[in-house]
Order: sequence, then structure tokens, then C-alpha cells
Amino acid sequence: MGERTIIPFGPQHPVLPEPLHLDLILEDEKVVGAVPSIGFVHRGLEKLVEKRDFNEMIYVIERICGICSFIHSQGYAQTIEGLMGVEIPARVKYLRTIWGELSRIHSHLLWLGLMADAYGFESLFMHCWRVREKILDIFEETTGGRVIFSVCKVGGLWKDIDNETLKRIVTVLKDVEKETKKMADVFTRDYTVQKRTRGVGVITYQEAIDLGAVGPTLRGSGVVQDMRTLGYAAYGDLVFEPIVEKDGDCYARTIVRVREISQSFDLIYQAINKIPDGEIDVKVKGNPNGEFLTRLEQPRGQVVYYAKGNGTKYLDRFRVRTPTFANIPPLLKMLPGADLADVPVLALSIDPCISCTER
Amino acid sequence: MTDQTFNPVTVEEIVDHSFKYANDGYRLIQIHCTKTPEEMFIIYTFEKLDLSCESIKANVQVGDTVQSISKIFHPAFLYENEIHDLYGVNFSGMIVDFQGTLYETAVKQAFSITASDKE
Repeated sequence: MGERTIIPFGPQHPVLPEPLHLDLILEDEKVVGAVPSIGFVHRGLEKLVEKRDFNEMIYVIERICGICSFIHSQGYAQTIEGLMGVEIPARVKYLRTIWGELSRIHSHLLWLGLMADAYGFESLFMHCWRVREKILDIFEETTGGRVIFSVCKVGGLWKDIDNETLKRIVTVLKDVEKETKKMADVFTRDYTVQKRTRGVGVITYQEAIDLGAVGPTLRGSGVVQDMRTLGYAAYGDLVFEPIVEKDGDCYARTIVRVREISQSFDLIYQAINKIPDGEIDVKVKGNPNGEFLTRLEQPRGQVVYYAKGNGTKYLDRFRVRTPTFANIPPLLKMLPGADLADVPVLALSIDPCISCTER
Repeated sequence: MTDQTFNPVTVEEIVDHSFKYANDGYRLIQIHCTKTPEEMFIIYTFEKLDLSCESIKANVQVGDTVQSISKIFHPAFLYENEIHDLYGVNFSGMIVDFQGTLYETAVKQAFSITASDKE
């Protein structure tokens, strides 16, 4: 047995865009254990709900994260609407689905770029982020924002997308789809990518379930589970199957995300074909009372929202169980036995979002 | 759709219920604390792969000790450490105990009931 060394990995690390912190226990170059620390940038946003009007709180919630910002606002709105028994117009459901799937594409492209960067494939990283810019351009055109949109509200949306613009979005997305397919070929077939990801950080089917994995980390181990199949927003009207890979390694998790980008294009086309005309909001009367739990599928996996109202304009509690929080135990299972050089790839393979985790 | 029933249980019954859910094929998807100005509750949510989901809810106080379910559901240790650090509820038998250092917040038990809540 070699001498044991403890190496801090993060919170500041060249490969990490976010302050993930792991104390890695090493024997020579092999990881034998890992201890996570969170709380480095904890902001206490959930606590703020006690001091903010429930209608204004949505602007705080969408700032939990800059990548899945829209779906956080959608999740908050959906939870409060459920709590108050508000039925939103059909057009709102479709528009939320379109913006949600655009968010998934931009999140996965961002992650694919970071993953390419983690194993030193700089040109691939730049291609992913260049293509992603076109999705951000669509956000800017339709919402006015590239990161924080502020289009969701309790009872509907602040902004509509007219049907002409929706048609133009399809044209743009067809081009983006072609470029994405070229990159997908590199991620699926390139020798360097496979060398760094195949057989690395394997989580079996049963381990993924037992350790509470969610999203691509769960589906990469062959488990068929996607919260969108619950049929929230417009998903109940759209045809799709959860994307699943069976190998449970970093490669499988990458391929799930690559295939989910194609699926998101298809879901957007379906939604644009079926979107009905109509209002984009309903009047919300009264204050929330009681408790309500909602589950949604973020790009990183299942997110759970819980709200408790007391009949006033302030909520007693708003809880967000983020996907990264659920994926920490699987990450701790992947690390023992890995080479130190593989730790960045392993950590990134769960697509960690510390901003979400430390909401 | 998600079942909105939060079945009331006592703190002593949490482990038995967790065993039952584990035997019925559920997995743990979250534990959190919630509070009113007067009382606190701890809520456990379990989910099957077919997405059916159930929650249990127990009344707790700051300083209470609740038996950990991390030996039944491994990921529970993270939620339990989080609740300990933010709400001041203790857990016995956690498989990983951060001893109050998971969240290094400036204010201890920052989310628990304060005197201003009761006013």
C-alpha cells in the first residue's frame, strides 16, 4: 500500500467552472476516497422566500442558476399554480416547453464543450460553444435576455412568441442541428474521446438506482426514467421516449446528452407544429395556502420543488432539491479506483452545478 | 402526476416506514425540513421507477434526535447533514457525519425557527 495523500480538488480548479470541492484521498496516483464539501458559495435563496412576495420570488428562483434559469422559473410557477389550483392556457404550456427544450440544448452544448476542454480537445470545446451562441441568440430575440429571461410568471408568461418568429426559429434550429450532428460524430467516434471516457467511472444499473442518481447519470446506466414522461407543460401532447445508454461509464453519460440534444430539436419542432393560439396568462387571485410538490426534468436531471403557503403573500417554505445534489453520492462511488488524471472527467460527467446545489 | 398527500407519522415511525418503502421498490428522492412560525416538520419523499411517489411527514423540534435512514437509503446522509446544519435537527447513525461542517454558514441553524418568527 502506497503512502496516503490528501489533495484538495477545487473549489478553484482550472477544469471546474464552478466551486465544487472534494478532498481526494490518494495512494500514489489512485484515488481511494473522496470527501465533498459544499457551502462554499451558499446564498440561502430558499430562506428569502419568507421575505418576498410569492409573485416577486420567481425572479430570485430563476437566479438559482444561469444555465437552467428558465426551468427553475417554470418549476416555481408550476408549483405555485398547482398550490393555488390555477389552470394555465394551452399556449403557455407549449411556449414553456419550447423555451425549456432550448435551455436543454444550450445546457448540453455548454457541458459537451466543458467535457471536451477537460480532456484537452480545445477545438471541439470551441465548436460546441460557437454553436451554442445561436441558441442564446434565439433567447435574446424572444425574451430580451441571454441568461436570465424573466418571461415566466405565476399564471402564465410575460411574453409571447409570434408564429412568424416560431417559423424562423425552426429555420435557425435546422442549421444548428446540422452543425450539432457533425460534433456528435466526434463525440461518438473519435479515438481521443473514447480513450478518456470508455470504461471510466462505471455505475451499474442497480448502483444508479440505489445511490439516487438522476438525469443523464441515471439514464447512462440503463435506467429508463425521465420526468417529462409525467406529461407536465406540453410534454403530454408530444411523442418521445427517454434516452438510455447501458454502459454506465463517462462515455455513456456523454452519449445520452448528445442524443438528448437531437431529441430536444424534435420536441421543439413538434411543439411549434402543434402550438395553439390563445392567451398567455390568467389572472391569479388570492394567496397560496397548503403544500405542493412538483418534479421536473432539468438538463442535469430530476429537480424537486416543494412549496408551503400560509394564506399570506409570503410562503413559509420553498424547497429545491437540485439534480447535482442527488448526483453527489454517485460521484463519490465513481471516484475510488480512478486515476488522479481522470478526476476532472469524472467530476464533469455528472454535469455538476454548484450554483444550483448551493442555492 | 405527483401525489400531494403528506402522510403524517411520528419521528419514531420514520425508520419503519422507510424499510417498508425500500421493500416495496421505492427509492428516496429527497428529505427536507419545513416550518411555520410555531412548528417544524421533516418530509421524506420516495419514488418508484414508474414515477409514482409518496411522502411522509413528521413533527420535529430544534435539538431533537431523529434516527438516520442512511443505512436503508444511502443518499439520505447528504439530506440529513443538510438538515442538521440548516435547521439544528440531529440524526443518529448517519453513515457519513460531517459534524456540522457540510454547510459552513456564518449563522448556525440559519433556517430554524427564530424569535422573530414567533413575534
